This record gives sequence, C-alpha cells and structure tokens, in this order.
Amino acid sequence: MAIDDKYIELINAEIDAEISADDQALLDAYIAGNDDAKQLRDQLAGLCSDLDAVDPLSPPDDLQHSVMSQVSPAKKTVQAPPRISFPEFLVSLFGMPPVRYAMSFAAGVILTITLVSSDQTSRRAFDDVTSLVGTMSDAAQGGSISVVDDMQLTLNELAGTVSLNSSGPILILDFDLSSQYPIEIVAAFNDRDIWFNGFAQLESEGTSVAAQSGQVTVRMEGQRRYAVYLHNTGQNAGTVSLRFLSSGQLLYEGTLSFGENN
Amino acid sequence: MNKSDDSALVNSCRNGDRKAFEILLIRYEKPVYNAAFRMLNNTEDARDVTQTVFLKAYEHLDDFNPQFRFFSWIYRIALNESVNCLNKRNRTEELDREPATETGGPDAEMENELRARQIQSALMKIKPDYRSVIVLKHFLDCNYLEISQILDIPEKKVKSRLYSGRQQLKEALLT
Repeated sequence: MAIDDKYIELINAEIDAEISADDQALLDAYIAGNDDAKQLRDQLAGLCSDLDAVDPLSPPDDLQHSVMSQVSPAKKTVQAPPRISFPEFLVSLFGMPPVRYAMSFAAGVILTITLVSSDQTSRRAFDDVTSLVGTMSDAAQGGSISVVDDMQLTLNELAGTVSLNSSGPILILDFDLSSQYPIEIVAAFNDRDIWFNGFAQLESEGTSVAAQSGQVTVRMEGQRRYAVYLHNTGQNAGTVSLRFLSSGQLLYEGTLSFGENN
Repeated sequence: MNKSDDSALVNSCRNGDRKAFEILLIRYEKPVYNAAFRMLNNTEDARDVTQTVFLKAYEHLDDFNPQFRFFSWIYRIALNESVNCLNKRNRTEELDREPATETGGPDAEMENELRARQIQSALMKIKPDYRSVIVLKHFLDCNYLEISQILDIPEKKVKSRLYSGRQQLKEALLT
C-alpha cells in the first residue's frame, strides 16, 4: 500500500518531536490502517535511534593548545574618545574649512552650517527657512550654553558621552562616541512643542541623520563627534529618551532631562 | 550554554580577552570536531578543519552578527570548511577513508562500534547537502529552525532534505 507524502512528512516530524497534537492523532489513525506506513515509521525510528546512539568522538588532546598558540594576543578595543568640552567642540567646528562643515536635517536633504558658540556667534545659511521641512537652528538666542544632563556609555561595542546642552529655546544633543560597528541612535521626545532644528558634525561623512515627528535617528560608525539641535518652542521641562541599537538589537537606553526654560 | 553567555564571551574576545575565546573553544571544540568528522570520515582532516574553523572565527569575530547565536555561526563555518575540504579531496584523489578506531571491549561496546562504523560508511554514500542536515540534526542536536539558520535555507527545505537524507541513509545501510 503506497504511503501518502503528507504522512511520510508526519512520520518524520513525529520522530523529530516536531509534530502537533492534531497531526499526531491524524498520523496514528492513518498508521492503524496502513501496514506500510507502520513499517516505515518503525524503520525510520530505528535508524534515528541508531544515529542518536553513536557516541561523540573526543577531539585530539593537543587541538586546543594548537589553536590557542595561533591566536594573536589582542583584538581591538573600543575606547571612549578623548573628552573635549562642548564649547571647544563648537570652536573646532567654527575653525574648520567650510567644505568640512556638514549639516543635514529632514533626512539629510540640505547640507549647510549652523553654529552656536559660547560667545553667541551664529551663522545662518538661509534668511527665510519657514517653508522648509524642519528649520535650522536659530543659533543661541541670548544666554550662554549650559550642560543640563549627560550620560556615559562604557559598552564593549560603544563608548563615549552624550550630553544635553541648552541655550534659550535651543536644546543641543552633543554626541561624542566611538563604536566598533554600525550603530543606530534614536532620540525620541514626546513634547509636541519640540522639533528637530539641525545637525552638525566634525567629520564630513560617516554619520547620517533622519528626522520625523517626535524623533531623530542618527546612524554612525567609528569615532564621531556631532550635535543634534532641537527647538523647544514651549520651553517646558521634559526628557529626551535615547536608544542605541546594533543590527536592530538594543545595546543601551537612557534618558536625558531638561528643566523649564531649559 | 546560552545565547547571552556566548554573546558576552564574544564581546570579551573582541576586546582582546583571549581567555574568553578559550572558553568558546572548549565549549564548541567537540561538536565542531564531530561535525567535521561526520562530514569527512577522517580524523586528520577533521582536526585540520576544526583548527581552521576556530582560527577563522577568531579572525572574523567583528563580522559576527550578535542577532544570531554563536553556535549557529560556528557550525556554519564548520560545515562550509568541511565541504571545502571534500571538494579539495575530490580534486586530488579519493583517499581510502576509515572511521576512528576505538579499542575493543565488551560485546555490546563492540556492537555499538560496528554499528557506528556502518552508519558512518552509509553517511559517506549520501550527498553532502543531505549529510549536512543529518549531521546537524542527529550529531549536533539542532532543531529545524536552527538548521535553517545555519544552512541559510528555508525550514521547508530542511525537512525535505532531512527526510530524503534518512531515506537514502536507510537504503545505504541495506546495501
């Protein structure tokens, strides 16, 4: 009596303990009326039992030593970049040739410069930015920059500092990080009065930024220093939550807080 | 053995901790060696392949995607290296392979040993694609999903190869 392919599959699934209760009942009923199927099941079960009974071999005694003797002593380590204060970072940006300034916002559509320094120096690339999707930093509008919160990262694959600075209605996330492989950072803010205002980086490439309502996503690899500008229109107290991911897997998450009127 | 434990060891390796790599080597040396032996039926080749597998793994730890399990990654390297070894062997000469010999013992032990030799001999008669699936299932205790990830083929294909492989193995044991 021929055996239906479906039941050959179920016999194998039963042997592998990957059969559902319904299919098991179906198979039992089929086998009860089919001697060939019963014989096949017994043969395959016997074969698999023999396979599973084969004792594993022991590797040669010197194999571990042989491998370890050929393993180089050190692999690279990610270390936090040397810490430079945020004003110094801005001065560095300010002192670089314009071609190396890179500013992108609204998914990197526009590249330009926005600078804010502790002595309130500002440059604007456009006089009228109201028609753009997102706007650029209006620079620090009075008052100096102050650090309101920060976090240290000391993971094996990601190390450095993220600080939250404020100047008037402008909030500036200062990322000073080293990563071993591509990292995605999602900065989320719930306050509807906060919107993405700009992005500046020391390096001319290697970091990308995408903004959407309520969050900014940055992708980076290697040693990078960059700033994300947010505009806190209502100047209400709040938080920015940061999630650091690698290949979709969460490496670290934390929150930076700021007060009313920053 | 668990995923997070292995991941932590891999991270330590990446940061230069040779001891962490040694722990992974001790943990996976035996299954990798056995997989290579079952694929190749030669202890010297299995030894060489196992050594190559771990050295390659160490060199390419930065390429390891932490989303996957370490054992999936290293078993995949082991099977690829074994197939490479088989291909080289086919290009040179078909050596007279013989399974590892064990010392004689009580009758039951000798019977087991004889059966193990018969199984190994039958395994070598089926194609490497089918042999790989049987090795992963019966010698490395992987389930359908794990085999699918290791070989990077759909689960449906894993099942069909496993069922066909068993059928071929059954026939090879009868001849």
